[in-house]
Amino acid sequence: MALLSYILKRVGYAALTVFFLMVLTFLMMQLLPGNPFLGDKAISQVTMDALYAKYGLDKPLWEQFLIYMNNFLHGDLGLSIKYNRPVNSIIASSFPYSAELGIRALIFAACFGVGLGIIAAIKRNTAWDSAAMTLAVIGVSIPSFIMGALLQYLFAVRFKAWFGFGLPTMGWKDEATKVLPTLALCFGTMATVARLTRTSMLDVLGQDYIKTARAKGLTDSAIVGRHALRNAILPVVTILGPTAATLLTGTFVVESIFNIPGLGQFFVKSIRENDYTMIAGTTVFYGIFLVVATLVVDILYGFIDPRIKLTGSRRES
Amino acid sequence: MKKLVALVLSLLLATSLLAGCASPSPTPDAGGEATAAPTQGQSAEPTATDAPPADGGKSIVINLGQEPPEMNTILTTSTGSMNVLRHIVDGLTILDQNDNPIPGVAESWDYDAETLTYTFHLRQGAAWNDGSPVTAKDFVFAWDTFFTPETGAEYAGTWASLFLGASEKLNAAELSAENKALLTALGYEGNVGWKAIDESTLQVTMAFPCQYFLSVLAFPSTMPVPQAGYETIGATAYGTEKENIMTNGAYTIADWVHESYMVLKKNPSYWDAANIDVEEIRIEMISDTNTAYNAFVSGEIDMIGLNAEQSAQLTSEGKEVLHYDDGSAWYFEYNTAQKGLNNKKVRKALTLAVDAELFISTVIKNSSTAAYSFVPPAIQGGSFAEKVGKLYERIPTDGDYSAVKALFEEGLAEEGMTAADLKFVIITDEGDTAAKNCAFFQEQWKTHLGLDVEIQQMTYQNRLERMTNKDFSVVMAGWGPDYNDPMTFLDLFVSGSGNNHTSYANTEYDALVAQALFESDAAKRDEMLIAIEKIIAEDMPIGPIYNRRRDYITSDRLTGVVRTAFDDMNFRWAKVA
Repeated sequence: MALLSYILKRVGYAALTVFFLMVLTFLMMQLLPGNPFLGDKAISQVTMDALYAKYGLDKPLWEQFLIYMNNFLHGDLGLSIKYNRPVNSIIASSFPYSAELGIRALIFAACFGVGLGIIAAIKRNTAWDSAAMTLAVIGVSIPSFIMGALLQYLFAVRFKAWFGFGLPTMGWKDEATKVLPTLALCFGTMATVARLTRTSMLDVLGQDYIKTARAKGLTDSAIVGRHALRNAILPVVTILGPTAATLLTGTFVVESIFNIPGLGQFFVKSIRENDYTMIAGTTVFYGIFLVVATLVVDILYGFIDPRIKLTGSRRES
Repeated sequence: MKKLVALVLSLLLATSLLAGCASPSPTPDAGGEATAAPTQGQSAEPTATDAPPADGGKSIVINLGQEPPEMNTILTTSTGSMNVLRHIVDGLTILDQNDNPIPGVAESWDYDAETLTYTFHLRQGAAWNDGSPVTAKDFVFAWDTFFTPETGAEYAGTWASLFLGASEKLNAAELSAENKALLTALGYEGNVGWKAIDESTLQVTMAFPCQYFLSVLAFPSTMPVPQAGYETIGATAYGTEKENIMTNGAYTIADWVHESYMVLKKNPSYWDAANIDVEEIRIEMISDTNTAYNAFVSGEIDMIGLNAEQSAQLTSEGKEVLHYDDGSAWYFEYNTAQKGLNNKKVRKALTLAVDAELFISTVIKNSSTAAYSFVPPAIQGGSFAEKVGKLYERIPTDGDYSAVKALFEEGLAEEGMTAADLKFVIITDEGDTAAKNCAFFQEQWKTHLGLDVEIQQMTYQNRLERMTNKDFSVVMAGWGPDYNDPMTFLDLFVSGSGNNHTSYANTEYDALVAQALFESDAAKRDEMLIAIEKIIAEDMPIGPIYNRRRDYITSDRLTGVVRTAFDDMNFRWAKVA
């Protein structure tokens, strides 16, 4: 019951957040300089007026917003000014690519990140630790566009020159084409997860109950697997929500380098091109995605860590 | 400000970390039906199959560099879209390898010089992809729609002056009594100079003796559109998916995954199919130039465009880099309404203080050419630029710019100013290239004139808005030709024209442009056009800097690709080994 009312409350907040997001986006779009209909050729006022009318931009702002909200509540994000295609169908065709890439990267980042972090923590201050943490620092500090370009150059171009075979340079078709973009995208997240896991593992490993477990004569793997990791994983779960939203809704740089027709590019292009409906559509889509991901993580907490009560007050432990 | 807004908008995406959970979530798969009435196919499958072409050898992969944004011939303005459209739709004429109009849908035509009227006889057996015949009515429908102001076709303004009655239709204006009488005399029932005499005969009357009219009929805006197909698909959805385009050309669209690739397959029933060698063209839409380069080096793609570094690299490896003249002229537009810039000596000094040759050899680093007049050499195969000759010296002897500086100071003095009083910002597009270009100009003006200017980069849409509102001092701008005649450049600065952002107004210039338009004697017309060039060189509402050429490369197996200023990328004449 408590959980239900908690969820309902959060849903309410979420709806409010999305609403404010829409209002703000709508207002700020008006401040964008430029006009989506301007091209190299001058067009007559009659034509310009016709174009404004076609996309409903001739109406007062409040009316435009009401129309937009009404359409939104009916699941219609409008018509992209630049592409003349419904924003819904643009998102529907590009999101699956981004989501698949994001899920792959997320799984890879989470598994290897946690693994690296555990190794580094257990083998603290050894060569293992240094190696794992060096990898993590590199991952955090090299941006994905450098990583992507490097991977592409090495495994696609150089490998073909050296060995006569290599991974494909670009595209999103068979499994081979998916290796490099996934690696390029996951590296940063993996590094963050590894560092987080290490810190939190070290924290947990110093706790009294771990000492007790050790004193009882439990094996290392039992201590780590059954006692330490369950607690140490919490901070990692916390960041996975927002990270999932970011990775799954498309990443401009990696998608552009590997020529993947995902959603990422539209976040950037739509603003550049004054494609108002597309700006609003992508923003709302991302906003909702993020809000849902965050809530899911919050609810997961309750299952992972019984100490956390969703209703607010902390149970005495 | 605009950067700030763009930044905050982007940040907004990232900062909605407030609460959690769902309101009505947009259901992505509810897509397509949202607006208008897209007929059949929806978005592509996420896992697009990538089967190799059945015939193997005769297929090529090329890079278009972008998604073709507008595949409706009536509305399109983008070079990328036109590159595709020229392969899948034929107009009355098509362009040959040298940009000359040759029969397309029209097999032959008669011309009556007295009435400026063409009668086109359409090819028997020409058919749309749904099997219906291409008729004269398809042209009438396309042009009627194109010149309707509510359609919002950007090119309508450019072509309206050519067709009798089109300008009036586009601007919702009354036809002059003289034109009305002319239309009636020629047997037109409505107020426009085009009609279908029967299924396969089309009559068109020009508004003036236009010498490049037949080439314009190869331009995508004037291509036919079948009314039935267009209305079934719906004006909004037309051209947005592979199923939503009617084609009658050498190729059909076999596959189109938005933002990724498009596959064109040879149309076996096309009238000239026997002479078309490339069976399948896979058009990649790779925007990242490094990725395209890597794909080319790895042998995944047969043709890509090259930037200066890539071009140098490949040349050093002994590869043959190709060039073509894209026909565009690049120049400063001066706001002649602004104090200081209203003086033609000042404008001239600003233009000539830039060493355009050095600019090309150190910044552009390809075979682009410095401008010595306005109309670039791509027009009429360079013969016009040759007739005009060099209208100014770009590099003073011994590199001594003191004469240019003296001119600059003289002009400023006439306005009661000194170099210190002339402060302006040069506006340009986003990105590295634009920044580098402008930094070069900034440095040249500083060195040669002692003038300090600032650079402001902005999005393309923002720059166009500033230009349209005449809210700028100096802007680096370019213009590409629409037809193969000097007039495509020379009429830009007619007083009050929407394309004239400089506020320049010269009655002599305006009169010459109007005269040249109706002059049918080629030699006399050339004289007038040359006179216009000289006025521009004298008054310099714009400061010509360079004419762009582009580098590209093809794999060894692909030859005969046509790339010109009027046909940016054409494979119908190409051969593949």
